[in-house]
Amino acid sequence: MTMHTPHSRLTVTNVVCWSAALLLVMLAALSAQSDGFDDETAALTYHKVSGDRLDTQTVASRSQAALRATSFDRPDVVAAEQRRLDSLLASMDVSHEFTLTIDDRIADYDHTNSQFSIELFTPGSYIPFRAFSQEYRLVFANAASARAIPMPKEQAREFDARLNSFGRQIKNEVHFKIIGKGDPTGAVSGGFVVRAEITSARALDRSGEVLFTPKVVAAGAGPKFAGFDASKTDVAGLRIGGSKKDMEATLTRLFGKVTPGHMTASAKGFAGAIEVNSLGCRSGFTNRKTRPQPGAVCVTAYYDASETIRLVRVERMFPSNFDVNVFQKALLQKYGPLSGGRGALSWGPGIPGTVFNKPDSFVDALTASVAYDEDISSIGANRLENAIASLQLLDAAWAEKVSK
Amino acid sequence: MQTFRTAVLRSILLVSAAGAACGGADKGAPGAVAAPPSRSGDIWEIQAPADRTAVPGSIVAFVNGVHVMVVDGNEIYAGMTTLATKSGADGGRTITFPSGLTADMVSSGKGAELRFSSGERVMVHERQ
Repeated sequence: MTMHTPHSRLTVTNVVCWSAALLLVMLAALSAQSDGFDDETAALTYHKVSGDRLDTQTVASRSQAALRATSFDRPDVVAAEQRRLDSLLASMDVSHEFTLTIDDRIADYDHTNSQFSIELFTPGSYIPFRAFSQEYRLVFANAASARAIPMPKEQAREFDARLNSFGRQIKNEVHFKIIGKGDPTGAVSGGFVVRAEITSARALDRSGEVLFTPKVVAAGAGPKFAGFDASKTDVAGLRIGGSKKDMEATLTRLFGKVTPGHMTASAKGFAGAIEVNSLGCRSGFTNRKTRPQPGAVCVTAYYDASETIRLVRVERMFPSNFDVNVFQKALLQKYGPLSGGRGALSWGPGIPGTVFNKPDSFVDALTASVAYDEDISSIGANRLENAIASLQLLDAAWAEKVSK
Repeated sequence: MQTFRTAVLRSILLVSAAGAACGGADKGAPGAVAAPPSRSGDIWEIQAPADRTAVPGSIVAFVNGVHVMVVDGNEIYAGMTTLATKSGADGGRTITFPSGLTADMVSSGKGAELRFSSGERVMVHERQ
């Protein structure tokens, strides 16, 4: 296992190895907080906490037991293994505390801010681990509170010399809980980004002597917006909770002709939709010979039986030099820290996806994403495609009621 | 015959004058909800950015809903959200968003420039 930082790769070792796993299970029965880290336990906890679905059938079909079985017995073996995994997943303790000791490094003294910093806790760093033949990336939501080692310059000189005596390499002992999905800073992306909260940490030298113990602040305990309320915000100026009539008037004034939108039969609670140019932001969906151009705007708004707008999605096409970092910065400025936990750029609260007929998944009140306008002509073409920025706002309180 | 630039300047100055005429009523609770007027006011929008350096500004404008807006006297509507405005630098207006972000809307060339407090800039033009 390795730790990835924006600048380096460092080796990671588990506190407790596989051979101790059985002992850990026994200890867990005696203690609410068992030490250690097990890849599969962490992965299962992540799937349970985040609501991100684990395809247990596929995992079961790739298991050693399935691979060893004869073709005659394989279906039964896979089914049994799937049942075992489903049962294991359901039994996961979401409050489980994990421990990792990581080979880490303390960076050079920052004279401007009078502090050293621990590399694992810098934005963009993550710890990869593998379970069920897929990679997970572990990030710490409250890493910022553990990053700095503040120190006056005179004291820092001696500390720096001590660090140099062992090449600045340290053991970083981190205790944490898994709390959701996605990197709050947005710096780490990927399919399975495991969001964790540090409960305590210690920087140790090679002999095990404590160099520093950061004062960890709980994730979300720092300055933040007072909760995310979908009814009090907007996406590109557009709101939920208002009437269909007001939305229609707004869209007509700003963008032109409004037409009835397409409704999928599986959506629950929605009575209809209105839209403007809804299929005009993607080449793949147009019959036009010319591709949509930067500046194109597409809006779809869904309403319920009372003709109250419950979901609005707005998209805009940008040139290929779209800057995701600027997009993310603008979103964080407007909506505050990411709080959804179930998507890379999302804000909570997360609710069961019943309104989309996906009760096993979770949806967040606000999601933002960027796609690129690729169609069949993009295959093999050496060109950068235009970007499509999407913002979607769901009336989470309404959706939660509909889900029950 | 007045030039387009003069027309833009006049438009912005009229907005400022309207504010002053109302006793400097720099009103507009940030984030208040209201559909924009169906007829009055003018629509200002960022254009398809031929200038690629304007993309960051157009991203910030989109996120905050001023990629297309209705300017009606002293009121600015970003979609269904009214924005607080007050007299700004160079005879323009300063828009304050609910998040605290501000943007100076200043006459520039054939339109006006939105200068966000976060540093990005983008041109906006009145829809003809």
